[in-house]
Parts: sequence; structure tokens; C-alpha cells
Amino acid sequence: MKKRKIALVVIFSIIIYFFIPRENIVIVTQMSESEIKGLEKVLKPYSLIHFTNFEIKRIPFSGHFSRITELIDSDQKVDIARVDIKMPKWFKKYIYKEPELQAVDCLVMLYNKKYIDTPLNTLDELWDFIEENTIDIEGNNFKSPNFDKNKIDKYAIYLPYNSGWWMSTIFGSEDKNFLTKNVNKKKFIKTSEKIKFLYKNNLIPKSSTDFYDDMIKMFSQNEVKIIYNGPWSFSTIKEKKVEFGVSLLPKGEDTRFSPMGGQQWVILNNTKTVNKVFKYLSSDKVAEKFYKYNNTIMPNKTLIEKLEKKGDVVASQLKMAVPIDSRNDYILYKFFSNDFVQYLDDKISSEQLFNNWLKMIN
Amino acid sequence: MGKSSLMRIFKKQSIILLGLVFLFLYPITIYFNIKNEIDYKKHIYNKISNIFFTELTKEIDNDLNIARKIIVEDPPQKVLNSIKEVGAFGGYSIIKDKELFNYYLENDKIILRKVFLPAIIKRVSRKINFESSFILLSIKKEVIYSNENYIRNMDFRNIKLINRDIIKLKGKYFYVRFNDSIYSVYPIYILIDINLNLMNYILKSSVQWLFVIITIFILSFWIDKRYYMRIQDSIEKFSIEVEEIGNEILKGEKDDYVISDTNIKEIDNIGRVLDNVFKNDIEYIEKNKNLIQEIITLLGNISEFRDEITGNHIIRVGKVSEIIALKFFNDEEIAKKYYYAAQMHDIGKIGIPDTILLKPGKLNKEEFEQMKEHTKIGYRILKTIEDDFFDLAAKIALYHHEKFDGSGYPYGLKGKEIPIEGRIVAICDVFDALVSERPYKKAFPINDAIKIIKNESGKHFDPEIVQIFLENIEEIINYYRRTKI
Repeated sequence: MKKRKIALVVIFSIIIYFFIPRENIVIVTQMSESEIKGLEKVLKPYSLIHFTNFEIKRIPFSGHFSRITELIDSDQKVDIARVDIKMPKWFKKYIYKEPELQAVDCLVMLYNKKYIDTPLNTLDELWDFIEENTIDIEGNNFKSPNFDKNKIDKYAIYLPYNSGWWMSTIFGSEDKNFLTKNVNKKKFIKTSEKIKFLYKNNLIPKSSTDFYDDMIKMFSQNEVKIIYNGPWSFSTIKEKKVEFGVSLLPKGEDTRFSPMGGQQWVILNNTKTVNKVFKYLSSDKVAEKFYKYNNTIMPNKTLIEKLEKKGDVVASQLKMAVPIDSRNDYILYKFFSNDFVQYLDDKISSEQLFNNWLKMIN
Repeated sequence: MGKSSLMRIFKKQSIILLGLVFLFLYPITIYFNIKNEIDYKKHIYNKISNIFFTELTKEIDNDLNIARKIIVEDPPQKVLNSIKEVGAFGGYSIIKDKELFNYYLENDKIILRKVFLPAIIKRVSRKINFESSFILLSIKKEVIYSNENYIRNMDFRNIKLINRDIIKLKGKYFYVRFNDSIYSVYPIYILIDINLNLMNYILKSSVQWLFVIITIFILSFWIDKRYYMRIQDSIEKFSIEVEEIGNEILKGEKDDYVISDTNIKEIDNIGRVLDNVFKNDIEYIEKNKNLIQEIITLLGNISEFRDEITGNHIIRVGKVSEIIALKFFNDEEIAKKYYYAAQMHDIGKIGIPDTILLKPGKLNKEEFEQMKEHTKIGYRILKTIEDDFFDLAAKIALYHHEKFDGSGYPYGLKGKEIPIEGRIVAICDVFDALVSERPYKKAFPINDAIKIIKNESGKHFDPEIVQIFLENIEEIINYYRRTKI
């Protein structure tokens, strides 16, 4: 009789559990498809216990602050969003509370283990590697007299020359003052000329504004052996079944420069439930889960040191990464997508290019 | 197939169980069929969407390149904000009234270009030969284009996703995908009809289940047929062996023999009875030669044997019945007949399903009603032989569960209405059951069992027989001690 009662209570509780109304929380994020799977795993235990349903909306990274305001302006519910830490001032009026950091990131080097055993340590090694491993359809490399630069079959590296974020890794490594008014002209011009040399000889693939997808696709399809990317891309590449290694960026004359970015959570609908979810997402426990599922790291000194000891390359690179603010982010974008491309196409000289940079940075 | 009828193989309980399993698994089968199909289509549609967006982006870019450039002298703050924000790369697009407004920076000036999206979308769908029903929505969920008329004026703002990429619209299921490559500046949703016809999946699941059920039936018939044949073979072998032994004993040619076990309890019990007859009553065999033959024939006709009764139980019941019958009738010949006939008191249990007969717990009402039938079944089996001995055995089988107060079965007879055969064996059967250990109970001490018998005098048992039982209890106890109960 007692057992029957317990069984009935259990069955009744299960039925009640499924019928208890759930509050719907909308999270908007610019995460990749694979990262969203990680986010879903993070949210699952919370939704089971707290009677909450999560609707995750993906938006492109490009212009994501404006997209979020478009959603809000069109009466679509947005409770929480994950946005870049370089939040524009005008967006602040939409948020409640101070944002909570979700993760910091930087660029590291990803290499295809099928072709590379030992990762390259310096930029000079990288330049050599490019010349030896950019292959035309006849199998000749740049050092061969028969090399046909118009018939490239496989590239050594995808270097998006029109992206300030990516190019800062080269210029910044050669000159630690690259982002300051003390930028070294000689080093700047030398680096620019090196990139121009690669560009003119088709030793790096042509970049479009949508270079990111091309870069991932080419790496996944073994068309390039090396790319620079952040930890957010690891899960996507793993899904493509590429066996890849991660290493520190090659060292230039001065350092291994990597721009530091990051993502943060913001509240856009100030309710009790949303605040609870926000608190959960900002907890250390969840940060560990994000590291587990998406390889993203919180800028916690102890954690970074712990990860570094475990041999986590991203943690090591993060320790020497340079935070990039909104201003520098825009300068980098503007300079490399316009001035630098003009320089590569011989529309402006290296002298002019340097002057333009100096003007911007000052 | 003979006696292997459908109802015999699939007893009521089995059919109910099969029905419940079916009811539980059928919707699950439909669910998984649908899920598999959706997962497959999601995979395909994800690739189609990629192609669609790639082509759409190309076509929009081409059209923008030839579109008229308008310098926006006094751009709205929102546009300025969008163009300069992180990752915008100096470009931003807004969709309004099916038109895409593309703003970008050129020589520090904001330039606006416009394209009409439905024309481009139609071109792309023609180009990639896209035939499914589809809808394109802006990020504000306004319809940009649909090749389905009924959708063009729908309000999508409050339509929720069923899961991350499925949406239901007017009874149809659509795959949803956003143009969400990291640096995409054309924020468009595509919804593609996944042509999910529930009826197809119900039919598909039904066919799968039909196949499973037919397989179960065929397998069950096959297993049952093999079981049935094995029993028939064992009985046939047993009959030939017993007949040969009996004939040789009658001719005086054999006195050292062994009746082999068939591993069918009831047949082996009867084998033991015959063994007793062969060993002790040559005179009886000679007199009843035809009768023995008929017993063997009867055994040959019995094809269902399931009960789990210890052989010793029937012998003990036979012995105690003999003791009481001797005192009651004061006739050794009758008492001897009781010894053998009482051993067949539960032969009717061969007609009771295993599920009831071997059930460890208490029987429910319906099961108990079915169990009661063993008295009548036993009677019918034993009545087939026209002979006084079998007439006695048939009566014992029929009446040994009647109770003196009228609360027994199968007929609820009362007092002396119950034939004496039943009254005698009833007490012997119950006493043996009390002092024996069974899977569901421990053995009562003999004294406790005697007390119970006494208490039941006039209720369950005939007081006159109880009296004889008690008067001869010492002999009975000695017999039990000898047989190690």
C-alpha cells in the first residue's frame, strides 16, 4: 500500500513537473553554431531545475549591437545578450546593470597536424614556411624556378591582410609600439613590404570582407595549413574533423603580439528571472563549463595560471595579449581595410601609408 | 498446427501485454520516425540555406555595385552608430518595405545604395532551381518574399520556434535558418517547408509494427510447434515403453525395468503410479490389461503439461487417502483403489495456463476462477475411460475442493451432498499442503496442521472423516516421518 502511494506520488510529481509553466528567456548572441551547442549544454541543467525555457537567437557578429536594437525596436523580446566588450556608448541606454564578462580571447596559431609536426616559432620561420609550402598545381613551391603564381593549388597560410585585428599580430610582433605614437617607421615599412611581397606573389589568398568564413573553409578543406584564430573557432573546426594543433603566435622582432578581445553578458529586460539567469551565466561554475565546451577563458589570474600549467596555449597567449579598445579597434579596421589595401594595390606609397597610420594613431 | 491455436499461444494476458507494449511504443516509433526525417532534412536544408545565402549575398552585392550611390548629407545617428560599431567594417544594411538599404563609408562620407529584394530572391531561386515552399523574413520578422500567397501577409513576430530551427505555420513545418555567418551584413531569415506529412509517418510506423507483430506471431508459432512436437515425441516414447514393459510383465518375462523420465511432471507422476501398479499388483494388471492399455492411450492424447507439483505430494495424498478409506470402508481393495485414484486428484491442472499455475503471488479473482476449472478438466480427462477405478479417480478430481459448509468449488455442494470420494481426499490434500513447504509458504509443524484440520471440522471438512483422520493420526505421522516430510 505504502509502495503504491509512493509510486502514485512519483508519477503525479513527474506529470506536474512537465506541466508547470516555464518562463521563456530570450538570449541573443553572436556565437558560432558550435559555440551555441556549448551554450545550450550550459543552460540545460538550469532550465531543468528553474522551470525556464531558453530561446537562443543567433545574429551575425557584424554590427551586432545595432541588430540587437533592431530586434528590440521591432517589439521582439530580448532578455539577455552576449556582446563584444568593446560596447559603444550609445548602446548603454538599452542595458540594465553593469555587464558581466563572459570570456576574454585572443588570436593563436592553428596548424594542420597532417602537414606540420613542430609549430613555427618566429615570423622569419613563417615567411620561409610560406615560400616553401605555397604550392602551384604542378606541385612547385615559390623557391622553384617553375613556380606559377597564377596557378596556386594550396596555400601555407591564410593571412587576411584587410583585417586590422589579424594584421596587428604581424605588425605588433615586429614592433611593440605599433599601436602608439612611438611606432617605429623602419619596422613598419619593412613589415608592410613583406606583406606586399606575399600579396603580389600570390603567396597568401585574396581576402574579401567575408574573409572569416573563407578562412575557416579553406583550413577545414586542407587548402591552407595555418590560420590565426581564436578559441571560439575550435569547436567549429573540430566538427569539421580537422586534426589541428594550437600554438603561440610566431615571435617577431619584439614580441608575440595578439589582440585581446572579449565577450560579456548584458541584461536588456530587467526582471527577477532574467537577473537570476544573468547571475548564473556570470558564475565561476559556468565559466568553467564554457571553457570545457567552447574553450573560452575568463580573465581570472588563478585560472589562467592553472590552465597555463596544464599546457593551455590560449591561456599562455592571453598572458601576453594586448587589450584593444573601441578606438583602436576602429583605427585598425579603417586603416587595414582601406589604406593598407590601397598600398598593396600600389595606389599609395609605403611612406604615405606610414604617414596615414601615424595620423590615425595620434 | 492442431492444438497450437492462436488463443492458446497468446493467452488473454499476453495479448493485453502486447497491446500495452504496442500502445506505449507506437507513438514513440512515430516520434522517432519523424525525428529521423527532420534531422535528415535539417542537415540537407542547412546546406541548401548556405547555398541560398551565398548566392543571395553575391546577387545583392552585384546589384548594389550597379545601384545609384546617394551621399547622405545628414545621416541619422543610428546609421552612424551602426557603421562605426565593432565588426561592422564600415557597412550596415537595413531592410524596410522589402527594400535593402545599404550604408557604407567612402572617403569619410556615408553612401546609401538601395536594392529591391524580391526580384533578387526570385532570381536566386531560379538560379539554384529552388522548388520548395519558402519564405524570407527580415530580422524584424517582416515578410520580404514568399512563393506561398497565404504567407505573404502573416505576422511572424509572435511565432515561436518549436526547437532551435523548426517553426510551425498553419499546420506546416518549416526549417528556419538565419543568414548568420559572422560578418554577414544582410540579416535575413529563410524558412523552408520541410514537407512533413504526419499521415505518412503514421502509415510508416504502422507498417513497421505490422512487420514486428507478424514476426512475433510466426516465431511464437514456430517455438510452440517445436515445444508441442517435443512433448508429443516424449509421450509417444513413454507410451511405447510402458506398453512394452506392461506386456513383458504380464508374460512374466520382465521383473527388472525402469520407466524413463520424460521431464514432463504429470507424465512422470503417472509413470510412478504405473510403476507402483506394475511392481505390486500383477493380479490387477492381468485383470485390467485393456484398462492399462487405455491409460497409455489416454496419456498419448494429453499434450499439455505444465504444473509444478512434487511427485511425492500425490503419493502422500494417495497413502493418507488409503489409510482413511480403509477405516471408512473397511475394505482393502477399495482402499487400494483410493491409493492410486487419489494420486490423480490434480491431473486437471494440465489445462491451467502456466501464468496462473506457476504464479508466485496471490491469484486475482479472474485467475482463481480459471484455477477452479482444474477440477472439471481432471474429471473430463479421467471420465474418458469407462472403468470403476477411473470413475473413482474422476470423482476425486471433481469434488476434492468442495467444502463441507458449501463454500467450496466447483459446485458449492454442502455436507453429505459432497460424494465421499471428495470428502476423504479433501482432508488428505489439505493436510499434505499444510505440512509441505511451497515456494510461497513455509511448512507448518505437524501439530499445527492437525489443529487447523480440527478447527476446520464441519467447516471445510466432514466431521466424520476428521474423526477418522484424528483416530489414525499416529499411523499418518509415522508414514510422513518415513517419507521425511
